[in-house]
Amino acid sequence: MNRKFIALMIIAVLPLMAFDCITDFSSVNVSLNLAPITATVPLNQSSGTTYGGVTPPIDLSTFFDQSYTLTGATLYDLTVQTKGEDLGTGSGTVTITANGTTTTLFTYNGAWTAFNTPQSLITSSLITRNPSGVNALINAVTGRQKVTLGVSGTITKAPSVNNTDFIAVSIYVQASGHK
Amino acid sequence: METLRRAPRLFSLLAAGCAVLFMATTGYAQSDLQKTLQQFNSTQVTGYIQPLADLFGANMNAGMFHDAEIPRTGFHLSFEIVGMGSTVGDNQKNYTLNAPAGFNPATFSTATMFGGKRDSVVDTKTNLKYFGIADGFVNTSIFPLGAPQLTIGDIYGTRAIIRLVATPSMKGFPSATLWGLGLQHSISQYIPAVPVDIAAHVFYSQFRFGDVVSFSGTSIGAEASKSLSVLRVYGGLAWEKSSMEVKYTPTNATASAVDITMNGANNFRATIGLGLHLLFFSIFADANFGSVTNFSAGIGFGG
Repeated sequence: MNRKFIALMIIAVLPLMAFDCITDFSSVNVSLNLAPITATVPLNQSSGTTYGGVTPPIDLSTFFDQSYTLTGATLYDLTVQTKGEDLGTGSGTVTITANGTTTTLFTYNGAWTAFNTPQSLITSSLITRNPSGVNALINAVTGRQKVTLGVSGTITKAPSVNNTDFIAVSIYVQASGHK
Repeated sequence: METLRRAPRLFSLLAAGCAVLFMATTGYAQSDLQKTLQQFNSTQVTGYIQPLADLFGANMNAGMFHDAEIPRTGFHLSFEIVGMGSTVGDNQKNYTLNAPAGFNPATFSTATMFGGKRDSVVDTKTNLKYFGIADGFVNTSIFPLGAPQLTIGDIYGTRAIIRLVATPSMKGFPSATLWGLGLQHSISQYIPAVPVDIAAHVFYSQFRFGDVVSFSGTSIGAEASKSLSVLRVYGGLAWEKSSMEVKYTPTNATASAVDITMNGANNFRATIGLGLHLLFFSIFADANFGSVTNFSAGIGFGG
């Protein structure tokens, strides 16, 4: 009788210890670091000292596990990088189009060569974000929308060859969600 | 005789209890934990789960030996159910995570899987915000583990110990297997004048859960015990090592596959314990002191 009692106590108590200590996962906030949202625009001879391009639609719902319910998102960095020959000094605007509305996300301005090393919103004074554009981006992420990014601007020297000069933009977003 | 007839059924019940415990401690958590981990690269995730390596590793190397009295020859067979628990310290509830490159401050403290709410860091220049991996989801001051074990001997003062639990793949949970194998050898047989029984041991165990997480542990040490009628006092010193290997592919397609091995914090433990030993029945409990404080207790049948 005593053995049965002790055995039953062990069976009853040990699992309870374990079950009791694990929180219901639906109440656990999880950070979802999305893959960078990117746009790359080529600069060619035919366009002279202006450039521009729009990405194909980017489905932001594919950037995270669909089983999460998103509760928010934050922009934690964005970068601009130039590739190719020195095109003097340039400026540009990056826009986001969501639900048919286009909003400026950020602008950049400076020597082409300064951007050969990716310039970051965190550390560079050459990039200026637009709060309403950031809000549009965050709403698009949490709303699992499709967006397009537009990159356009001017440079002081026209490209001398085709398909070697590019401007690449990367946007870093961290979403928050729970199961 | 009636007791012996009932014993197998009783052991089956106890083994089932252990299996349930395994499912509870690791199975439930792992399914969601795996999805959480897959959001992050190895640098980001290491600190979040390091306490699991520390606590699980300390549990794996606990509760094996609580008797140094091993006759040179004779038949010994006992079945034991052992519960182990590692204490979760405050230093295992938070860890320091790197903020994104360029952030000031460059690091911040946030919750481990044993902590509370995740924290965030705000860059002083841009006010950009970045959060820690996730809230903690294991809310406990003791992290438990249970295992059945069989000891068999004695040949030349040597006793073998076997731990084995296997749970099949079930809906939502991959299969899990824990096994351990060890030997304990009487030292006091060579020095009969010594007033206590002394033995040395080596023990290796491994726990594998699905394809993502696996643990291994090794313990080498010596223990002494002294029987006073039905009471037994025991203690020991051991060197040990444990490691946790985590493998997965992050959901972020730009991140490389994660394959990290983390060592448990415990490398040395001192044990002190007390047992009650009747003819075919025993109970024991001990405290283990090292980098992780651990307790184990069990019930045994046979002798």
